[in-house]
Amino acid sequence: MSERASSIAVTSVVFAALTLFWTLGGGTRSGRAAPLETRSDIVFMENVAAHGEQQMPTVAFSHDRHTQSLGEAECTTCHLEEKGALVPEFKRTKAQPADMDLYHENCVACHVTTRAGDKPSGPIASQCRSCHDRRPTATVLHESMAFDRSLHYLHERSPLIKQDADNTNCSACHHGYENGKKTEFSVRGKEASCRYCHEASGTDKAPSMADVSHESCVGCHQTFVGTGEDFGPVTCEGCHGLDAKSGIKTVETPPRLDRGQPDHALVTRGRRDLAVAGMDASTQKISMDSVPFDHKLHESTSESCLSCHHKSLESCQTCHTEKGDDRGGNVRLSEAMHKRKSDRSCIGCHNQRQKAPECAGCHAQRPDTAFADNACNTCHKPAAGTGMPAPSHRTQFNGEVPKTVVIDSLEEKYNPSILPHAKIIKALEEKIEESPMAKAFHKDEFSLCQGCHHNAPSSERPQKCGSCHATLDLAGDGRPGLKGAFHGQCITCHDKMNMASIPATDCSRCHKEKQLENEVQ
Amino acid sequence: MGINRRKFLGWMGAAGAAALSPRLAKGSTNKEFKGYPDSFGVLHDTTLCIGCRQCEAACNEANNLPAPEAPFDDREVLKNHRRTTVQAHTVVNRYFPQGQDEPVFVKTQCNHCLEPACASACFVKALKKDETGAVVYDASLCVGCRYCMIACPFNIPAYEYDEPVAPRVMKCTLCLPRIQEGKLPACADACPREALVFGPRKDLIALARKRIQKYPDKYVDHIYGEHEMGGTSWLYLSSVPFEEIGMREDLGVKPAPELTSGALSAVPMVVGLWPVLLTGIYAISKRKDQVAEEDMAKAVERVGKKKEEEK
Repeated sequence: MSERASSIAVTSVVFAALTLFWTLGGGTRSGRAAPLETRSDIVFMENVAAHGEQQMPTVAFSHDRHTQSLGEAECTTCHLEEKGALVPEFKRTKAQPADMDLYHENCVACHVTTRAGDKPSGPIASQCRSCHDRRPTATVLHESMAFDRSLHYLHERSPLIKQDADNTNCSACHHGYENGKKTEFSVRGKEASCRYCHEASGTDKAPSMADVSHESCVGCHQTFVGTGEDFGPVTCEGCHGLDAKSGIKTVETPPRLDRGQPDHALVTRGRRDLAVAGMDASTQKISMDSVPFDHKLHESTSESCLSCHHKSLESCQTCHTEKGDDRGGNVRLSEAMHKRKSDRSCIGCHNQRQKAPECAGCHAQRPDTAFADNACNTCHKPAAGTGMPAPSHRTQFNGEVPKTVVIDSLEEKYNPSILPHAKIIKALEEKIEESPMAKAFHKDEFSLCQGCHHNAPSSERPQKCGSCHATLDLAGDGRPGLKGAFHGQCITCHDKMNMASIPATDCSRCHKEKQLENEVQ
Repeated sequence: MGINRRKFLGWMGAAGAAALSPRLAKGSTNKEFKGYPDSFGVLHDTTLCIGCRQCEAACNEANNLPAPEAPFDDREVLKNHRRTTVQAHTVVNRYFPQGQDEPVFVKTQCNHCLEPACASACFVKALKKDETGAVVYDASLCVGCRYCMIACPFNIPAYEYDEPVAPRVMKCTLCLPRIQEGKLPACADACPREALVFGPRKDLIALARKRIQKYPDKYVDHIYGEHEMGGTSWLYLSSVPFEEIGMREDLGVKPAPELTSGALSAVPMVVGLWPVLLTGIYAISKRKDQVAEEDMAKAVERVGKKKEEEK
């Protein structure tokens, strides 16, 4: 090639390379157009990466798929045993470090032998990207296994679990820890949740909850495989799958767990602290009334004792004192009872229940900080002669709930909308009747109206939405305009209450489209 | 060619002045420009969008665009991610962010940046930033080079490749004629959920902050477009990270014109200084040779004369 031609060739190649580099490296939009499949049994093999630079994408290992394909094979096919317990790591003890070669040799070797036996199998040595997939199509989603009162009762009365001398089988699972070793028997009356010692990640004292539950629970279930008895799950999906609950037996009303607990507990702010400080309660001013806490009722409505007793089975006030104590992590009693975001405070747990579809229609739209004026009275009850004044407004609705309401304030493309008002109220009232908690908080009948007729005093003839909503108040508090308010209120309620039959995009469902005059029929 | 002292000093002075000019040029790149005061924008709250595509329909009607293949209430088109095209100044896309069952819908269109890359790249001023905030396109000035399409960090402008006689660059106009009349842009007007709020950009940022403060669990604490690429007129709120709804988070806060102002500002200096400098050097080196030649000629003459005298 002549010199001129060759220099042109080189330049074009360089130019093309640069162009490609910049166009491909440049901004391409990310974001998935289709949802990712979720499985509960995926284990991401991330421990190898800890030992140096990770050169290939993390492998997403599907545990259930392997146990299912191996059929009758024992767990020891892949897991070693140490001190009579299975090590959750793959073919090594916890002391041995993770090694890339260990995985490659063992995994691939097994795939190769299976293929040799003419059976379908996983990827072999030359198919790196089949395991190290840069764009996986599935991701892990586990439901955490909730060992609730029903499950506990099933285990308590199970004939399959070894019983102790006193005809209970508590020691099969509950144990102590003394002199650095697990004790064989649990002390009666002192049993507590596993999670008090076995936390999410393992410590020197106690292995992680995941490790012990897999070893003890699944290990025990494993012993019954093939015996024809009724036993618990042995696959990832069985406990952690989204649908796991349907496969597990439930007892509707398990009998109360006896631990010497009271039926009612009085939560009083400061009286105990005052007594400890040697002060006379009758002369000190205590602003909030005590809360007569119905412990028995709450036992039947929570998943397990762990829902509230997150650290020990003692009374909350033991650690969460009025001024805060080290034992309570310096969380004061008021915060422990009222913290909105917590999953174990009173208010926090009540707020969580508001997320249920029956309640979310109205409650999801209220800003986090909204408090009804008489919310405190539901729990804080005045003792005779002392305490907070009773709410002044009426709590009984004596008016007439309109059957339908015609919303015709904005008509352009659509006909007026006929809102089945009485039907909606009736449906909401029925849902409130079903929940004792909702009934307690909705004793004030006007509170139901506030779900839609909000930010205004409750009355029997509430004002029209248009009295406050006009065009979007950009310069003021940002309240939506009337169109946005109507659509926002209605669509959000339907969405939060999971009413898939009324999709937001089906406009004519709520208001028929107007036939234009010049439209040909 | 000889150069006398006066001329030499004159040339050096000119060169010095040219060397100082980059500083002046940098001063005029307006690094501190925060947009025209009272310019308008639109706040798009993606948590409110239901993907009904009424905005697309309204845009199509307001701009007299041709009817699309699938009608605007067809939700099957959402299966694929689309981009703005010659027939669609705006599109709505559906995303499935991680950790959430419900999809998120996002409307995409020209973001009307405060310092637009397209306007900066256009050397015939066919794209200009208007005081109302709209980035306006004048087809009569456009030469069809499509530098604006390369410059746009959001890949918005579309070009009428199939139009032989007078192809145009097509993009959202912020409905300038409508907003000058005091009306809302067609898309903002049509949205049933008020997911598109039109108003002064300052007020929209305040509204966005208020929403984030009122519902901190609902929104990611970031207003997309407040500072991206120096700020855009179109602002976005989201409940999931913006990367997951197809919005680039790697753009940085430098406006696009600032990225090129350094190189461009060096041009006057180069044009002014280099010819002078190089000519001067050439002249000096040529002069050296000339002097050497003259001396040589003189020496030859002397030798010649001497030889003649000896004869």
